[in-house]
Amino acid sequence: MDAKLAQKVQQGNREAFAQLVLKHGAAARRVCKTILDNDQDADDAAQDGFLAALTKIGTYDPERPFGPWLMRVVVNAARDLARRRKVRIVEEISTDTASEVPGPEVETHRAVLGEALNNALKQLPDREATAVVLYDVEGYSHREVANILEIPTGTARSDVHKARRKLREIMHAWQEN
Amino acid sequence: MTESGKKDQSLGAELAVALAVNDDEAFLQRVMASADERGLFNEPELWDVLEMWARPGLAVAATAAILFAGAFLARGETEQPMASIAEGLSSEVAATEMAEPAPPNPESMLAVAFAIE
Repeated sequence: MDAKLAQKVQQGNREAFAQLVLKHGAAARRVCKTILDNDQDADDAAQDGFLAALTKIGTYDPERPFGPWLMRVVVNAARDLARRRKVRIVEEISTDTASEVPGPEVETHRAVLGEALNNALKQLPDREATAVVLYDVEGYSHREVANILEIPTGTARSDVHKARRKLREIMHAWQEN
Repeated sequence: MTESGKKDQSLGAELAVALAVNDDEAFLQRVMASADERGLFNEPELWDVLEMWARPGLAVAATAAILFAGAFLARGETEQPMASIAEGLSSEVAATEMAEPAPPNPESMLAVAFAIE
């Protein structure tokens, strides 16, 4: 199904591309949200990912699954944006030393488990967080996760395992507090 | 503890809630608008252009080839210089046809060609 749509996109079919965006958009945005700090950046990165996929759709092999191919492009777009954001933040700090140091942020108690878990995800290394989301949320296999993240399958398996353990620890500590 | 080879359904469901996104339609619209804005669907591929030009192009090429051959054979009999063909093809009608972005009209080109003779 996806492969046929992708083939139509290769022939310039706009509607087929729209169907692929509708089908994979939520997953792409979730994965970008794992890598980036806010929803706006995540959506920007997901959009960049889809446009990059459209630009290089000619390189997609219809004999292979479309999801991992797309997700690889999307993850790279998210990482690119994350790098640009970090550079921008560093530049802002280094060139704005005269400004007042902001006061400590007031921690609000998070009543919603989802918010706490989202916060816990941000504490994980980018690759581990992405691996566990791709595996446990998006349903990709270890091999596909490895392919998307461009790492060996054993490393993907290890990343998922470590991420789960850390998430449980963080959530456990959060629940005790 | 879930085995590393199996999906952790519970964690997956909780993460899905944590990472929930909304308004898929709005996201679709912004992606499509951006793709349109960048002209990612508008630029015809090389093969599309060639296909568009193929039929009239072949007709013109065949006609030109026949005329060229005819003129070449007739040259000895009439001593008509080959330059006259070039003059004919550079006539106002031919020049107009060649300046158009659309493929040349075979009928116009034939008319120009026959006018030479």
